[in-house]
Amino acid sequence: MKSARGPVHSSPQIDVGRGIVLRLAESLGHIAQSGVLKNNDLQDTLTSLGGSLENGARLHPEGFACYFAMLRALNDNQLSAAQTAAQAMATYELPGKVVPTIRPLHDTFFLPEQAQQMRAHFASDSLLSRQINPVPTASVELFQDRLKEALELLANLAPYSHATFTNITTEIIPVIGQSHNGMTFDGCSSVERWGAILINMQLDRTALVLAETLVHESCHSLLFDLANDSYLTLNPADELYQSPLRIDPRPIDGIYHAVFVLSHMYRFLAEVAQNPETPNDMRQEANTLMFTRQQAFNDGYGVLSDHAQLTPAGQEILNSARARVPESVS
Amino acid sequence: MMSNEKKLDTGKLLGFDRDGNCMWGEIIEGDDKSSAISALTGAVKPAGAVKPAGAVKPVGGVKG
Repeated sequence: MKSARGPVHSSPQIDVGRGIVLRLAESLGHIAQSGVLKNNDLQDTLTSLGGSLENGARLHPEGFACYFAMLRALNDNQLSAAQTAAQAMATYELPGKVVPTIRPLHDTFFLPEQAQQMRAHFASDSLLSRQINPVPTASVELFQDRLKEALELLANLAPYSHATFTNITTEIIPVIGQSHNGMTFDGCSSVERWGAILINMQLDRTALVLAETLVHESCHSLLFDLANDSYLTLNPADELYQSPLRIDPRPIDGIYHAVFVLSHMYRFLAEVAQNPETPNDMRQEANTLMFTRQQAFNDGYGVLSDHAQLTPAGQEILNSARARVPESVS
Repeated sequence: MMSNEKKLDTGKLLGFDRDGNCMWGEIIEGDDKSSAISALTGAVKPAGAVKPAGAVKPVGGVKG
């Protein structure tokens, strides 16, 4: 097996994860000033939360969920529900630096209604709510330990990727994934719970691959952060192309996500492979995976080059992804 | 757009571009709550198959 090598990591951006938070802060200020909540105290609360976010605070994924619940309620003229969501959102403010928490889908960590809401946030056409199952009591500690091991690997052997990860991710939710029509899932991210990662612990993974899966999911959220107020591609959603990561054809938006995420997976693996502290067997595993990710990246990049209608922001971000992954295999 | 369109500028809400176009799915206007706001990314693969970690299901975005 050839190993893929090349320039891979640059310093993590200090403002990673801030774009979407600042946009949220702006939005909260606008909602407060509009008076649509018809409650001065609540409007003051939103203004205060927005100010905290502008000054470096973060919002727990449950807080993002409250935000969107508030918007829906406003849209449906359900003022009381909107007020309740606004009040709840303010309780989910986080400091600027947080260690991601591991919160298994288990009744120790989720009330029944919280679990139901969480499932709804992650469910989609390709991931049904009933595919997201609780962790058995006997496995809670084991899964927590595996995820802690993966996070330690990330911190110790891939510090650049770790810095990006911790600027994005505040919560990891291990679940048991159930297959549907012969398909299962590795993980999932959602704007509705920005900062959270759903991960299927049913799959057997090495520590390296588990860490890579966490990087993968966090980088979907990173792309939402980078594209918080502008499109990256302009192709119609019904144009479908071959994906480098999924067996089903995907719209260009999906290919774009895949390529972006693959560039960060590659960078993570390259960090591990090049770190002198990495054990030899893990280095070999990283090199093997790098080669595979590089090929997948190049496949997806080729689709984008041929078909994507990129905005200027989309082109810039794609260029940065290309710079992370060498074009040719050495 | 919103019932509160006279009071809220959607261009200042998360999930919309600066012109007020919904970026991440039918955020406000959709009647299907499950797809509302759900710029979801779900990794899908055949059960048991060896595929790269994770994958994507971002919205195809409703523009304009």
